Amino acid sequence: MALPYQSRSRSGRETSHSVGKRALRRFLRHRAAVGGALMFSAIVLAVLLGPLLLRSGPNQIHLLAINRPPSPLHWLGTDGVGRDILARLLAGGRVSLMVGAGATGIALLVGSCIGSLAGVLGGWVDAALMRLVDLAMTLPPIVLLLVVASITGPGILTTTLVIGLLSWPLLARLVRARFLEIREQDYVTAARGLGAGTTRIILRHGLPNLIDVLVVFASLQLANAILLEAGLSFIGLGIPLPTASWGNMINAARSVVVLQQYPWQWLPAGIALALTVLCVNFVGDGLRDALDPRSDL
Amino acid sequence: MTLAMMTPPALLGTAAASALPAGQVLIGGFDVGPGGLPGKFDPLTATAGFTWYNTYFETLVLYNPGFTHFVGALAKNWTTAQGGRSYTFHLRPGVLWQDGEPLTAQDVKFTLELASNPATGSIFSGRLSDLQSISVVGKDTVTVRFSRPDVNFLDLLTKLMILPQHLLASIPPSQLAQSNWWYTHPIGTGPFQFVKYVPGQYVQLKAFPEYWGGKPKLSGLVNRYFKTVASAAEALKAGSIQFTYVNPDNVSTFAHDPKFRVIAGPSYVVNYLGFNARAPMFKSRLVREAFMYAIDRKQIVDSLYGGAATLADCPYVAPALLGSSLNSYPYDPTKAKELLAQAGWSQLNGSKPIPVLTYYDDQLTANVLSAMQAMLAQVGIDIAPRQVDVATYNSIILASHPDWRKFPIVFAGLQDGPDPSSVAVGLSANNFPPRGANFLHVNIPELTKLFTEAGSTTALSAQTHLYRQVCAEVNRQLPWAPMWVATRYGVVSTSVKNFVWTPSPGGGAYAAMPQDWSLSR
Amino acid sequence: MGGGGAKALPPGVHVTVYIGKRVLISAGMLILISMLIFLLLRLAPGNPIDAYINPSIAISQKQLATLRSQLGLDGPLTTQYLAWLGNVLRGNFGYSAVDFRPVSLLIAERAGPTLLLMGSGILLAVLVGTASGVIAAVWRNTVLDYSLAVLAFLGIATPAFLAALIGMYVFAVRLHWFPAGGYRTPGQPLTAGNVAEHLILPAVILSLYYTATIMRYTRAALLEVLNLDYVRTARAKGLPEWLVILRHGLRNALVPVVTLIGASVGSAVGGAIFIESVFGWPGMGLLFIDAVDARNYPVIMGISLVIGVGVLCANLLTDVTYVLLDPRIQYG
Repeated sequence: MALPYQSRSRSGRETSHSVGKRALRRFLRHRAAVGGALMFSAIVLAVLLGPLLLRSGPNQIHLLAINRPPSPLHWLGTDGVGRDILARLLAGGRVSLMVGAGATGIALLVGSCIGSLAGVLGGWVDAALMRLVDLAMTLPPIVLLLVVASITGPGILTTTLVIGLLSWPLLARLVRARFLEIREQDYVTAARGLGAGTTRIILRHGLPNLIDVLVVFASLQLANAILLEAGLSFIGLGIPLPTASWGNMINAARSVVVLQQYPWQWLPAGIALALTVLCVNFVGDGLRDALDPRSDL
Repeated sequence: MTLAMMTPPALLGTAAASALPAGQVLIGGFDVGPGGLPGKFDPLTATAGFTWYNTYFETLVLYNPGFTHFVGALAKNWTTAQGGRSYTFHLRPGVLWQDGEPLTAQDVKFTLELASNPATGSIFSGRLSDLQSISVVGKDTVTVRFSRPDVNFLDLLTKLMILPQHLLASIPPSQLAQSNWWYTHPIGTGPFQFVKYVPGQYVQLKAFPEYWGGKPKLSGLVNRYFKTVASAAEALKAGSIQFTYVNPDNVSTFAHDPKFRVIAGPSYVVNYLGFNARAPMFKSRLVREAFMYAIDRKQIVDSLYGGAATLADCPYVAPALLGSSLNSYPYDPTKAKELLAQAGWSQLNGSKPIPVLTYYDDQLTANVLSAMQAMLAQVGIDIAPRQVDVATYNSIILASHPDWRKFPIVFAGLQDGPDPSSVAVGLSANNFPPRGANFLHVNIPELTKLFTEAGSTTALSAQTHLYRQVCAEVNRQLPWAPMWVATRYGVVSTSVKNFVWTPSPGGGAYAAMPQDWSLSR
Repeated sequence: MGGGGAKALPPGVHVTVYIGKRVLISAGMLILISMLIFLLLRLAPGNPIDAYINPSIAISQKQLATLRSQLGLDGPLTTQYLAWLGNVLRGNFGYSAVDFRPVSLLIAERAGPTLLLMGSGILLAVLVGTASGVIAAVWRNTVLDYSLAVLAFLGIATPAFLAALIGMYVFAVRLHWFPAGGYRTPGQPLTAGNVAEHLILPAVILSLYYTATIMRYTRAALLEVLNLDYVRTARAKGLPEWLVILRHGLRNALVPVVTLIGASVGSAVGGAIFIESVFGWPGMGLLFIDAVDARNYPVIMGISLVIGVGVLCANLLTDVTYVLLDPRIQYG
């Protein structure tokens, strides 16, 4: 039983080089994906290096110059306490991308693990894990968040963890559903007949079939997580004052006057967020096409 | 099929509604903002919402709309005797309950008994613990006696709605709060009578033609509920309602519109940075002074509040209550640094972040706290603001074993008027929790003595003199860093005539004369 | 669970047996959920009294004790929980800690508006979302597909409160097309037309997020299926693309979409907090957030149970639908 497993694995590695090359070629043919990748790199670069190039810091207040529209001095204007919007947009991007990526990563990991195990193993494991999902979908998040907030207080790490651990149940159900579909398909049955283990079935036959779901989930969840972060500061979680994040910049529009009269205070963060998730989605689409062995046929 | 059969009567319904004298029903957001308490119908257990209660219930006395003196409501007049230990009220003749029964002095006695009975859950029971006797003389005279002088009794009465004995006597006091009477068919003596409560949406009243003050000019009144002030302001702009409280930043969108009238007034709530007296780093007055010099309060009021706040150098801003030779603590970061160095701040706390707990969750407060944070950072104080909801806030500050590390500083508000004794709740050592709400454990013997003295003085001028001393003492000793009293706003459509509204803590408690309100086309 | 063991629904076992089993488990789940929420609520900072008292007004110890007993907050936790559970099993969901109205009545009042708003919003989203998802998949990597993607991600990046405020400002305040919030015009008789007038704007705004989400999942799932062998075969036989998609693609692509809709419907029972707040829509979301602010334990418990029933039913229905969509799917 060990032998065929090893030999197949080696043969897999031999071909992996050419598969990788072919995948890259396919990815580069996908114009939106390449555009998305370039744009995303630009955003990440701006967020990382931008603050070094700006004169005003993101938390530097200036009460004599509040709510100023864009000008040569402040390219994107100033906010309600006279802070430079551009500086906050870039500094906020760091925080938001960190929280978003972290939380999405956690949700992806937990959700796909639980979903795959339930889908592949079936039986009582499936039943037990799915009841756990039911439970997680039912508990009101706000009550849970109040409890966590009282224990931990605000902070980037807690916030990332909490958001990640709140958002996996949907993915778990999506992944399990996909496994239910492919579980009885011939090649999986055959693999199982040859004695392939659960992990191998999940990695070898599951993952390639899951990429579409994972890509959509990741790009949508990235936006959700970044927006959710801002909502948490009102119950004592989230990112503490005065740190900027895209979420709390968009939240400034809760004030009708900011919404209607100072659009430069929330619109840039909204556009940056939309652009980021759009890029992630295009890159994901490109990856999906590139890794799908059938798309060349 | 079903829909088709339903449509004709439905259309008729709309037609009938528009056939009503249109424009005679005033719709407002009467419970929007901090003075409102939507969905609360039992006035004995209510801590706000008096503007609305006053349209269908009535009190014995009220403030005038300027909050300078008391005026009679159900009481035609009253006398005080024995240095505030005895009050006699003469009721207005010919007052009818909305079910046609006459109001009697027995109703007043009944209401006071309910209010002083803790079993009803009444918020007045603590303050009425010294009540000794209530005697009724004839049909329209009531005398109330206290075992100790109660000089704030009239202030309490402005919030106590008189209730009908003939309808409520059969309900045991402990079950009164749970009764559905309050939101199904309450009966008061006010100019409007209850029609219905549509849960979560609005309360509808109609005119009470036999009202003692004359038949109301409006045919009805509707109190529409809003979850956010922003949506109420939009509804006003869209013409769906004629009145609402608005946030300061909304005012500019109404100010120059001839269709609206903006009403401004003091909030009677002083905002302050409260130092926890148990926190060792604030023991030194030099440190507390440094906070005052480090924060540019004038700039915050001018820029962030757009000038819509009055700087407070003590708990009061009313000119009559300002003590003599107050230090106005002008912005002076250099002096703040010197004071901190003198106090040994680097040993006391240094650059460790100090949590600032607040229950204000609006954008303006976030901006104010960010500004304070930046200003204090310049002199070497690192504050970490934390916004939580009211329940969390209260659970921290009023815990049975409070942990000062969770709230070394609070950014909060305390009612400072119209009755100046209100601030004693947070500043007198007689009011440590659980007896009172001095949760910062402010223990300044001079202040405690002044409040006690003022509480047994009936002469207004003597009282005023004592409160001026309170002001001077707080200004000197700084148990808190007083900040400002913000201005609050309401906006009313100019189609509403004779409308009286003014901001006040908990809303209402002043003579708004709803019977005179009217609508023009 | 090897290949053969997967046949847990042997020919003799009807799907109703499976459903019956799940319903029984669900009843146990509900009790577990109620216990958990009960415990979480007591762990959360603040209780109904903390939320209610005004620090400016002194409250005596005696009064606090009265309040505690009125609200059933005295006695050990287990006693409190068992008392609550006993009442629920007898059909009594307790009384609101704020206005003392029966919780069952409060929830019943909100059920209509919530179902109306969430039902119409999600229905609209399912129709528009799947249709635009199919369009995006068929014309994949064209300008049309990209435009739909941009629209979808703009929708996703706009938080509900922002969409609601903008929608209200533009369509109610500026254009006067719809009333500025509310469920009906106060003081006027309740008519279907009047409610519909108030419903359209919040329902459309609510549907934006769901539409965008459903569209992305539909597109992705469809593309996945279109690459499968039998679909290729069908296409190779010269069938027109739309026929291939409808006959072979959509049915299988629906599995993730149905999962998503199931998850949305389950939680939708709880209402849409932000949209209901901005529009003053008297739904379950508004009731719930007010209850959380007031730490109104009985109301929170009641709504959580309703949401629990919603989620469990929706997930069960989803699992049954899988079998209908793809008969190869079996449960163990």
